[in-house]
Amino acid sequence: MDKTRFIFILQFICLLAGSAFWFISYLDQINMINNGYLNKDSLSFRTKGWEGELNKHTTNYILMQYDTISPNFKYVHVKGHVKLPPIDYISGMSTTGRTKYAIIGKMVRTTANIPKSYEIIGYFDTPHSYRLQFQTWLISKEASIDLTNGTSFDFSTPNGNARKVLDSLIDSEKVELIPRDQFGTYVLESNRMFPALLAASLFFLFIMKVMMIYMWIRKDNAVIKVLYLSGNTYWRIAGFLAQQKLLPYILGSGGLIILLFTFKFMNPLWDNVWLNKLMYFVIAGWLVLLIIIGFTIIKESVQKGGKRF
Amino acid sequence: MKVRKLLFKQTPYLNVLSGVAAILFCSLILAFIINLQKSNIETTAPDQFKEKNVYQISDKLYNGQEKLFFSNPDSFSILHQFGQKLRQSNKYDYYNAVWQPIELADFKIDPQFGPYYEFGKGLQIREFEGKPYATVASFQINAKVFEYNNIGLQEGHFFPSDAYFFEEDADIPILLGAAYKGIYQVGDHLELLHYTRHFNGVVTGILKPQQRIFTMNNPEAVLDRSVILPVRYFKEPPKNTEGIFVKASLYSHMNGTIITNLSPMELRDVLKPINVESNFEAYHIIGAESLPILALSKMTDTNRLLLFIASLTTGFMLAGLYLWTLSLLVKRNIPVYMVLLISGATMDSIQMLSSRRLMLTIGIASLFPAALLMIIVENPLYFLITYYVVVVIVVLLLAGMVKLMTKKLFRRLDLVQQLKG
Repeated sequence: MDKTRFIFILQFICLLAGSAFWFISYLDQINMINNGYLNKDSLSFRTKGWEGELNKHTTNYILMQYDTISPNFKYVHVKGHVKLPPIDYISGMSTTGRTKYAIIGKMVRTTANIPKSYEIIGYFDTPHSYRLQFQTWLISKEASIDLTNGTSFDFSTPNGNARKVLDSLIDSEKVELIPRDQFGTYVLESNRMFPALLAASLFFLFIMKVMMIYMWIRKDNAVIKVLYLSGNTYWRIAGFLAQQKLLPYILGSGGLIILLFTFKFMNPLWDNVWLNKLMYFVIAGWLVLLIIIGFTIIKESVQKGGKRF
Repeated sequence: MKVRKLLFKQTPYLNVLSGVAAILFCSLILAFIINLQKSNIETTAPDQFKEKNVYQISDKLYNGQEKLFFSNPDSFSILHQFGQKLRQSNKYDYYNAVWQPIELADFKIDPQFGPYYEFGKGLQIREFEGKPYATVASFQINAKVFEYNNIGLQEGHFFPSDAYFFEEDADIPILLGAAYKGIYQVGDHLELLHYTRHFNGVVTGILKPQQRIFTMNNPEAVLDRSVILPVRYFKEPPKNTEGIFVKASLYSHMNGTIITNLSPMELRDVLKPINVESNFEAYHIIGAESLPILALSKMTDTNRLLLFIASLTTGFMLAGLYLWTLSLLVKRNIPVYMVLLISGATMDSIQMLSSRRLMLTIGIASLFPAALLMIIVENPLYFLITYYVVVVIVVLLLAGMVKLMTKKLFRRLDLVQQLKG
């Protein structure tokens, strides 16, 4: 009874940490939509001798191409698994089977400039993002980039370091990066402060977790001592503890991770940073458990001493 | 006191950890309060635009019209009068945010401050009276812009109220966007050309990063890389009208934004007497697109709600976890409680002991974030009071729960029975 309760509480802490990580990512996605689907890691650049050839590389990215005269009219090149902003599809339309399609904002005044090869399949379903509502996106999954359509670009990737990914696609000398202003909810100070706040809560949760693990192991101090005095080797004691504590704990957190992975597939965000961070949190828990087990065995056996049988 | 010492000694490690947890818990409460306060301030700015109509005044003096108009010797005085009456009406708010590049002398060259940098143009530099001047992005704004947008300073002070009037030889106060930090300092004297006329300016302040204002062309104009000057209205009809300075200034003074509850028809009626009195009719009233304005206020509202919900849930969950550690503490202290019972304590006094201990821990722990607050925040009184009100409420709630919890725990453990053996 007690064991399940401890494991339950420890998993609950992990779940809380997971929700905090998820919420930070979720907030970032909302910020990204309000900022015209550019996040804080997105890069803006201009061509400088680049001829529109991308190095062949399997990665996920979204590259928006535009002319500074009409920055709301974008050619959007999508590669790999990239989440698009919420779309209100015109009935009967979908992205499946198409390599070229157009998505426009509800405030776009004219659709006459959209090339015939792009069919409008829906509208941006982002009522709070006036930026997206004024934009026209001509989405293409083809790799070729025609520089006559514009020489300014915005680049975003869910694969971590945007600069590294961009460098792998284009020779960095051939582009000129432009520092970009942030708009939308990104600018709000309360919003920028909040992730820091959640990070503090996460720190708090981690301390709680270490504390719980410590108390959970300490409950069996007497058993360890008896096992030691009755002549069991360290390895046997460690094996006993691994079976009693480590295994159920790892199984429990494994179950939790599977649960969250299913959640991720049902409700994908822009990137999986939250899940990666949660993995670190869980693995750190395993390490703490291992260290505390080792520490307790030494403390309760050799250090306490006593006559062994 | 002795009892507390005894209880502390029983589980020193756990007690220290519970103290640390209490400090963190209090810090979180404080951070939540500051954050909510911040988001409240931030929503007031876009909320002022909500349910209001925004109009742009735009003159019709182009091509032949302009030439015809300025052939009248009173034309400057007419424009001046129209602009003056326009901004002096109390039936609406007259909001003037003019995006107009200026030229700075001896500018430390950095192309990103150029007004057309995003469009791929470098810094334009030209000679004027033997000095190089660089064109940089700039806004000229009136006092209403500060009222409608929540603009923060990291250094210095805002424009004094007399800065909004033109004086021939006075230094222009200048606010700089955050990107200028390190390039210029508060108190620096700058030479500048505004509509090609030479002025001296003095830096009075540097804005916080990512400050933005509403303008008709861009509802979120970011000020980071801009030089902010006050719009300087002429008190008297200008006499020296040489060059483009006076004409361009008069245009920018009258091509402002009107923020009001009035409908277009009502506004037309309000402006009619102004036309008649100033004898100027060559202008349009253009209604602003309402979506960007509404989107801004909805966006900030949703943001605040989201932060509020998340704060509350995290707070509750952390409180739950904290209570659980406290219950563990109580369980660990059972041998001590038994001794106390033998020495004549009653069950009630033991329960009181645990809730009092909680109050003491949180009471002491709450001092740490409070001390930090006193150091960091400038006017901490408001936060301090709100903080302690919340802490007291939380402590009372927790103490009640601890009392219930210990009662239940003791009943289940049945201490008396255990003592009897």
